[in-house]
Amino acid sequence: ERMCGNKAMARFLSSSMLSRSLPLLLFLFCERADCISFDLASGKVKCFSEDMADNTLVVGDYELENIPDGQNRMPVDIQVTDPMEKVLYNKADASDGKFAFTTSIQGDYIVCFHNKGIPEFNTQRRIKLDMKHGIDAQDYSKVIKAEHLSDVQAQLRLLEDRTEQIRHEMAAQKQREMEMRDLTENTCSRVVWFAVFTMVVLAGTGWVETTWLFNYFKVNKYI
Amino acid sequence: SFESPAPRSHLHCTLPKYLLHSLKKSTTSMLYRSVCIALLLASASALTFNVDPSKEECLYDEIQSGTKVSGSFQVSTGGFLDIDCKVSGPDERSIYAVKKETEGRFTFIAHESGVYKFCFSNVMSTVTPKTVSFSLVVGEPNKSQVAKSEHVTPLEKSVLALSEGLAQIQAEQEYMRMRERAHRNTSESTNTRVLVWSLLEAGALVAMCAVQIFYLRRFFETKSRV
Repeated sequence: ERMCGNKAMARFLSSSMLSRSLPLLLFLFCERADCISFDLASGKVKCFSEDMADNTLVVGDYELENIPDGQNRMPVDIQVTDPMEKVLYNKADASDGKFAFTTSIQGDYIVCFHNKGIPEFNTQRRIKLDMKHGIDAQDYSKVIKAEHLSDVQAQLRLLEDRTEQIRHEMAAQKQREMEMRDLTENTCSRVVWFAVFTMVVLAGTGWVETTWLFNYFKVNKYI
Repeated sequence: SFESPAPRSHLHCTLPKYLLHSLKKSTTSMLYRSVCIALLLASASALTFNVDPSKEECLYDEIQSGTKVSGSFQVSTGGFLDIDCKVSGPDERSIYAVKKETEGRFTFIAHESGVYKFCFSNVMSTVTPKTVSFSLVVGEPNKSQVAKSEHVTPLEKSVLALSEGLAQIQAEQEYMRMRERAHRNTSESTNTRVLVWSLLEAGALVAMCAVQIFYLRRFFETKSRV
């Protein structure tokens, strides 16, 4: 089944809740997972990163181009690491798959693809990747089913979650701005101190030079 | 309405043909309303990646004819923070091409179905890799295919407007986050440079003083021998 398509929709339409909650569900699940694909040459590594706040759900979908057996076999390894370089997901010789995790710390989460084919053959493999994080990654169908929410209720629930995410992000931004402000003020005071330091060094070397030469000439009876 | 520098998400959805058939068959207003509501959805993707010096990185996406596509890119680290960007269609026709830009955005309507290419090249740099954040929003091909509904209640309208607004705020926040990162890198670099430069300057002054003393000494010693 093609990954980039209305998988969620197809799955949902078969449920019995269809008639009652079709309107908003179409809205919520009408997600055509838009996939960006790229070529990965044999022997090369390509990494994609995303800077994410903590406590965010991340869902990734990947699909690799099928290489018929017999040709240059290019197994591709996939690895997902967190900002502390801890490996969150690892798959050797992947074909099509999915990974999901919730971020624990704020920072860069990197997903790397390593083409283990033979570099000399100079072939490439096309890989499709779709990474969603936050609200877009969450599956609301379960929540709606469990709590029997109506259209508007489901939509408002989505809004609630989004607002919470926005607030969270703003708090993180505030923190980062504070750190940056401290850094800039540190730089500013450093500039002053180092200018003073340079002047002192300049004056010092000037004084050392004059007195030393004066003594030298005095000693050698030039003056 | 506020002007957002981040790409606006064009909220559309792909309805498979069988669903459309079932919608047409049904005559309940609810379904017609649903179709209108179903006009909302962001099909967006964003990725950050490195472009090695003197190399070009390309991303591909399969897009249907008539779809509105908008994208934006930002260079967050590396050298002068500039990159060449080229967007071309399935027939190799260039849709958008800029050189040496730090950030840019483009919007176009896909003229034919096929694989569209989004390329970033770092050929102007020989040593520094650049980090590029690229965001793409793809819309829905046939807007006119979906019936305009007459029965969207004001409540639903408000809720949908709210939803779109919040989605845009989130997009803005992501943009701000990326810019703040680049700014932070610059500030840290400045801070380090101030320290290193001052020490180097002090060292240069001391060295110059020593050289002057020794040179003059040698000058006088030679003279005294003469």
